[in-house]
Amino acid sequence: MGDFFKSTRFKILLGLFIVLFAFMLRAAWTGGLSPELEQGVGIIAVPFQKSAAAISGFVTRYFQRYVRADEIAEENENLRSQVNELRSQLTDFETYKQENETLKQFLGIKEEHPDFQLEPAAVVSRDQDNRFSHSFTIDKGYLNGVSSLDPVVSPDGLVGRVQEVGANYSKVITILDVSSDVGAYDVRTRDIGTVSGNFTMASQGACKLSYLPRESSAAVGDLIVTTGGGLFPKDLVIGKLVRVGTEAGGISLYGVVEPAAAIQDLTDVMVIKSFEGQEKQ
Amino acid sequence: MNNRPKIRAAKYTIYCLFMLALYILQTTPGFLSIGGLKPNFVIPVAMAIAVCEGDFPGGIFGAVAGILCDFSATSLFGFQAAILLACCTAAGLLTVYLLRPTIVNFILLLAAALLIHGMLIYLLNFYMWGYEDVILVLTRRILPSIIYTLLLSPLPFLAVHRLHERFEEWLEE
Repeated sequence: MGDFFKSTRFKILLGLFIVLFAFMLRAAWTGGLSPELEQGVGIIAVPFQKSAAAISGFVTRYFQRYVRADEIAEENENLRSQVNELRSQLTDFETYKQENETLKQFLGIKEEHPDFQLEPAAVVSRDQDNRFSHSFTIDKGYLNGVSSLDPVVSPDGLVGRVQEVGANYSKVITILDVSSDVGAYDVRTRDIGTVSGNFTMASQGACKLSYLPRESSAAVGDLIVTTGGGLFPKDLVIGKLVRVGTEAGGISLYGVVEPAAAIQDLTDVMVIKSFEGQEKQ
Repeated sequence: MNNRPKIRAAKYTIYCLFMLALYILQTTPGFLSIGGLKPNFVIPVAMAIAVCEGDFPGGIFGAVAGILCDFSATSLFGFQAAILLACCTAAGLLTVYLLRPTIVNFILLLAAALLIHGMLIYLLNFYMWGYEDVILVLTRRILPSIIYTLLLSPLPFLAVHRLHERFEEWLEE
């Protein structure tokens, strides 16, 4: 085995290790912009991932319909072939209908907030290790004007922010991620806190509203929205309180927030490329 | 005419395409997802190449697998690539000098590599930052994900082993 450490193969592998380590240091230094090597991977992988995500969505929808068709077939064997024929026609129709509804909802956001510059994007991949953060990759990058830290929303509410941006893709961390902090307030009581990820709550699809004053009257069902500032626009819906408790030590209260956006199942999102008062990195 | 370089090039191109195809499946939303857990395919492929082909190809494909994992993760780019390069090189060396390239040895080496990879991610990305309930990452995400990956790992190993044997036959002809 000693020969290996004197060989050219070892020197090449050691060189590669040093290069990867250098990439890691550079990534830590430059923050939100992906290294060139990673962007190269993105240029190759993202189009394939986009197709795979589309096929996966189609197959899932198809099988869901197939289960229903089986139930219908049991009731009426004679109509099975006719139902199958109609189903294949309906697949296209329902896809268009769903897309139309999503776009209509996004148009609603635009009408409500005329200062928003929006970029529609599709979720093309989800991190294999994402059980607690639900982070994902979208098919839009800096070529589409997306920047690091841009807020990401769905028609229902805030989803997260862009963590890292490449040429044709961006990585999004959601509000369920432990590294995410969003200034928020309770619409009814006007109490201010911070919404951030928490491992226990994230596994149930919820996040934590911390630092509520001890005397706060925040209650289950209250709507939580963003306070605004440089990173997120004001009054974006985050979700509603499903539980209120006292922090260990009793200094402040916390709330469990159920996000308004269905973060685990999102297929389409909107990136807010610019809004009034935005701080760019 | 000597076709060996061409056959070798074809073999490594097929390994690359195989790994890319499995990576796309691995990151496809909802694919093989059980309660939010998904298996990792690219690490078993890199480990299978290390076991079948030895230290140098193993190290290179370990780095490629790590780059792909880094691409879909939000951690620092290069982190997983560096870990997997080291693990797959070590596995390749062990197979060349000490172990036979059998499926049992492959699973043991893969389990060790996945544990090292998972524990380093846990320690450096989560534990050292002092997050609340951080142990849940280990018990509900990293360890179950390792088990899920190990359960499916014989499939990529058998595929790589088959390809390796077929190409070795062509090289001997």
